Amino acid sequence: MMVETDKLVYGASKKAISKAVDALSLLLGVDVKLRTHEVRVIKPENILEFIGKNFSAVIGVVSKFEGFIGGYLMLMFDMEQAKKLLEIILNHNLNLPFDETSKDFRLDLLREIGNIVAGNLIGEIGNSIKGRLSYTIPEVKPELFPALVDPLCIDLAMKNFQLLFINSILSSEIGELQVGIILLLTINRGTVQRRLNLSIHQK
Amino acid sequence: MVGMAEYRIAHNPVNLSTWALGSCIAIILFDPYKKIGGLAHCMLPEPHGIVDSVGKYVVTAIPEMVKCFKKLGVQEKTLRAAIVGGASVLKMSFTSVSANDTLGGIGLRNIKKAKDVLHSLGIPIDVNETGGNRGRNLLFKPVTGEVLIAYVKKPDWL
Repeated sequence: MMVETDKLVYGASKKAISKAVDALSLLLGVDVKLRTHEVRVIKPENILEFIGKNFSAVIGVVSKFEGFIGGYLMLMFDMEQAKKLLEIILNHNLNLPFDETSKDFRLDLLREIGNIVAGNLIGEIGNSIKGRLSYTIPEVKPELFPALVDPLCIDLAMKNFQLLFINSILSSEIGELQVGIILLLTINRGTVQRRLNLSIHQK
Repeated sequence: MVGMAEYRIAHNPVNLSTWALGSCIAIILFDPYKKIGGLAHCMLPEPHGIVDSVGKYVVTAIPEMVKCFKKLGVQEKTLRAAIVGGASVLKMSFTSVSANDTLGGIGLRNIKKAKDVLHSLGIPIDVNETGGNRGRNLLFKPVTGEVLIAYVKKPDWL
């Protein structure tokens, strides 16, 4: 069941993801659309029920964010599609062939994609809920999808807060290119409510 | 297939598997004589408060599996163990519960707790495939006692 503060964060997250989608469209030079957007309040150990029996190997780009709400943002790319994504970005922005780049450069580029998405998305959530959020430099990791999600859930489970799971899938006109965005966040409802009340009072 | 925070006991010819062990730890108990095996996929070393799920915690899952084995006529002294997982897949999720926790990292704490509990029960660990920074898939075959572990291959362009 979603209470008022959850609904507020849900609304903020949808707007924030739209902002991140626009940023990705600019980066790729093609239209990226939000295909699905799902929000649930869940227990961490049940997360696999909601992400489905997806045991594929992916490239995860993960960032931790903190402030008066905290959690994790993960971009998820199919391994082959991630390569295609980099090819498009390199061609569109730098006119640079993929094969002329080093592995470190490609890693940095993925990290930068994560940075751009995190900056837009987390920044927008912070703006909407009138509070500053900071986030870590994204970590890039090729891994089985549940193995990436598992440590995030355990970390959040230990904090004993409500867990909001936001799952968005983006797609573009370039073939079957898809990007998954997963946002896991804990809300201390009292803090969010107090902050909202304070900002209303100051107006 | 054993999911997160679950445990199962199986007889030959049924195999037990679990996927994508990151920080979580899989604990296998095996009776080589009766060919009965148990697998628990645990998330945390111990509960802080109520136990919402026995399979979720190392300290509850292992004794529960031992209890199940006893009901099937297996004696504790014949049991062998394997532990798999407890990786630090992401550097940033390195976390510790208290300032005095010198181990840090939930994966490492899961490994330590599993070893401590098994040692206290006198169950020897035959396979210890733990730690590192990669996720693991696991298949256990009670008929042979084999533990098969697979890792994800990094793409060659990265």
